[in-house]
Amino acid sequence: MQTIAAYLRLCAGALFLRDESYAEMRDSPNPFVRGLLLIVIVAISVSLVAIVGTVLKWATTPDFGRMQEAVWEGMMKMPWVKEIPPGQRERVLGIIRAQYDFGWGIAKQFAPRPLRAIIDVITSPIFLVVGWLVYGLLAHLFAKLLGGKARLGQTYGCTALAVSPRLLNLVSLLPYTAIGGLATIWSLICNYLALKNAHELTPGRAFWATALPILTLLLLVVLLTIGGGMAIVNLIGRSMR
Amino acid sequence: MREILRLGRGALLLDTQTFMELKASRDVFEKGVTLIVAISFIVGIATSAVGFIREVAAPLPEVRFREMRQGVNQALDMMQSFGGPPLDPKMRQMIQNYVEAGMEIGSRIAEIPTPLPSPAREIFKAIGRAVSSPFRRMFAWMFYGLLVLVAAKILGGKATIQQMLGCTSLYVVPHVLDAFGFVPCLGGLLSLMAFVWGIVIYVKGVAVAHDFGYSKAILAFLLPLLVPIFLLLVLAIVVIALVAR
Repeated sequence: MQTIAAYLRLCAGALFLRDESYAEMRDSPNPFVRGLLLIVIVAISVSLVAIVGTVLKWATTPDFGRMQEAVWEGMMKMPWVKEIPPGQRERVLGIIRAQYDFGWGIAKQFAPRPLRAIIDVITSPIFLVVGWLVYGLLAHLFAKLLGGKARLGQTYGCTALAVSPRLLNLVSLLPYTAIGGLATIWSLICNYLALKNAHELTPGRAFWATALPILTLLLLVVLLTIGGGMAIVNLIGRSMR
Repeated sequence: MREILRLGRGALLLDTQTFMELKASRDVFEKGVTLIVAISFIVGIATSAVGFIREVAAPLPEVRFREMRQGVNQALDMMQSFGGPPLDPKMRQMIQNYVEAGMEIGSRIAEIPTPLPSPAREIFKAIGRAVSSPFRRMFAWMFYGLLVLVAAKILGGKATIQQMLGCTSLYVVPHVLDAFGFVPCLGGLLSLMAFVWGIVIYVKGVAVAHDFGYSKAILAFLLPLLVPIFLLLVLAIVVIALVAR
């Protein structure tokens, strides 16, 4: 319990951008393990709380399947249906229905689902840890290139503190609350301070050490998308020949 | 609380001493966050309460639908009375049919039962709006603050990220007037006043945080807006030049 309280205190310090919290993490005996534990604690706490909010939202939202039918039946009473020539009506309505169902299929992904919220208790820490490992490694490489002094464990420990703004998601205990992109941008600022303090970088170098991993990952995603797209076009081209 | 009130008063009066003290404070960022949360929450509670009362006091669905039908008919009549082409009776009937079908869809969705009764949804939504309101404002403040910080650094600014965000957070103080946004006419004017006053305080915050004169502070404040506009203009000129060839 004392450990959790100590972690929360550290999180609060990191959240309010206090340099001493990042320095404390950097100088702790095992910053990597501390960082890992911190991320897992935050992710599980937020996911557990989100279950309550999701259940309440589900309990106050009309069933999407019934909404889908109500809208379709209403659409069928609209004048445009009678404009379709009777001979083609069945075929045209069949095509429209298929596209309509596809659209609702996408919409249903945004419906509150308590089961998914329960699964998130397991998946959310995994995704957060993977993201932290990838970002931390790239940030460490760039920080070292820019003259950084920290060990890899210290970089990981300090960047783990950037998970603190995710605690704002505790408000999802209440349904219909949204923090939007705030946690992301706040985490970015925390990462900047983490790298600045861990590697004792100047503000300009810390800025680049924070931004370059993100730019690299974005570039990678763009290249993979282009590569994937070209491969699909090639495959389609070959099958058409 | 007293500290926050003192900060608010100093910000409204553009008191340099208040800005300087805040900049020198060890917990400058924390104070900024507290100020933004407090004011956004006050505004959020006021607007959510008004929205909730309006929703609860709204007329029955049948009455609302009747009013909507009347509104559509009036709009169609007005189109003709303002010199528009005479509306074909068939077309008029078709528009009315679409409106009827739309209202039927709306009423059928409203009738779908939920595990918790309908007022619970409205109550949760009102609470959700009030609680979420500080986050929206904080996102805008942090996002734009970061861009202005980069611009200020390019112009030779000296502030840390904490000082920059802390000093510019004072812009939120006049926005307490947004709580009166529901008052017809006056609400809009008060919001406009809060917006302009907020910009002036923001510029002062940038100037104090970075030890800038006002011209540099205004430039740092505007650069994040001007750069994308400039780039868009260049892009448009290039596209036009290419098309013209």
